Amino acid sequence: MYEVKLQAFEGPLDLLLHLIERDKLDIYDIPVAQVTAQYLAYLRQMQEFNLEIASEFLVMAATLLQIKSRMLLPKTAQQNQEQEGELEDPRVVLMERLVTYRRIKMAAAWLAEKAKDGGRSVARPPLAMPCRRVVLTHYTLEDLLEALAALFASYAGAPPVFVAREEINIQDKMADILTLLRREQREILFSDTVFRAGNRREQVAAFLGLLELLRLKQISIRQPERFGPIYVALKEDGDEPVL
Amino acid sequence: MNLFYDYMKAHVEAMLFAHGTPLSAKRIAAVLDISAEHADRLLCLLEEEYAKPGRGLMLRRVADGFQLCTKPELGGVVEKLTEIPEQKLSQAALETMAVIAFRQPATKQEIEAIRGVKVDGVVNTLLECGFIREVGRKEAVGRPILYGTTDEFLIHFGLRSLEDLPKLEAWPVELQQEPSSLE
Repeated sequence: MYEVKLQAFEGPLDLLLHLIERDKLDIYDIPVAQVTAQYLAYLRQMQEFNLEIASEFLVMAATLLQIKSRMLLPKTAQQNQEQEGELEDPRVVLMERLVTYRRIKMAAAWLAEKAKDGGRSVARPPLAMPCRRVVLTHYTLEDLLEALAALFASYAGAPPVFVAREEINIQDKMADILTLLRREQREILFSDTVFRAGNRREQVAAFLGLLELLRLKQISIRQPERFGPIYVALKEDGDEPVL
Repeated sequence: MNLFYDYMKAHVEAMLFAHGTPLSAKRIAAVLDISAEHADRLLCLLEEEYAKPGRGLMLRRVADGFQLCTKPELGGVVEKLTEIPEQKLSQAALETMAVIAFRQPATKQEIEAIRGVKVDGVVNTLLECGFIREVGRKEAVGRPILYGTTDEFLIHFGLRSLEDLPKLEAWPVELQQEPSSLE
């Protein structure tokens, strides 16, 4: 066992910049053949260590190879005249991207330096100001009690009603469907399981319960004809449900 | 010390305390009904006073305004008190932050073109940190979201305003003469 350290790069541009800086190459006059060879060597190294190569790295490899081949093509005099605009150095676009990226890296380092100071101070959010200052001068405790008494009086004779929220869980629904199946000769209509439920919450619970039973292989479902009724049946060999 | 200044300084301090977030000198001048020069002078006096070693707060010029905050050298004790976990921005996040700050407003596609990698994840991180926000849509195919920096960004990076950011072109591109630090 030996350990190999591969530097992690932020992306293909980062890797390219590293190669250029390491060999002290001129960013404005990149020796494409040399850089391409090293770039590909790095990718091969990554492959050897079974590292997944992000697609961006492959796109850059293709770009490098394309530039390299374009630089190898001889230019005829005719071409020179005809496509003067297009015949600029094929490296220009890449060079510009590298220049921009290097500046961004420097800007990032500058920001990191700035954050060292800025990030360590804390300030407060605005105070939660009372939306208005309430002035109570004309009232006494007696007035307050009187107001309370009047409030109680107005409520007299109307006992509060508590409305309990109905809780339906899927487990209950599953048990319910199984009970129904055993009672009804082991086969019932799908609509009897779901639509016999009352409100929407219960219907949802019933449907989820049905799906869960199906998953647990407790029941089977068949529909003899298209758009016809759907039947839910107890599975003969199904184990007893764990409920 | 001029008594008038002393008296008004207290007003400014109260306002800064109550406001919390950066307050502009213009607003201070308007509330106190004094001239902008007076407000500036008062703020300078307060700033000097806070700068003394006996004080734990400082007057910070940030995000086009003034704000009371704890001194950075006391960061340790504040972090201990509030149990702030240290979170460093990754290199990817910093680079993305730099693109947005220096090229704003910018779309994800533009950031990706500059950095040469996908940036969905880091853009979300920066949004969560509150350093960037959506500032609109670009009038281009798909109307992509444009991102810009927030006041939170200025505060975190200790910038008074976006004008504190140097021009991106100001950084030299020529290879440094000293050996590369990347190796």
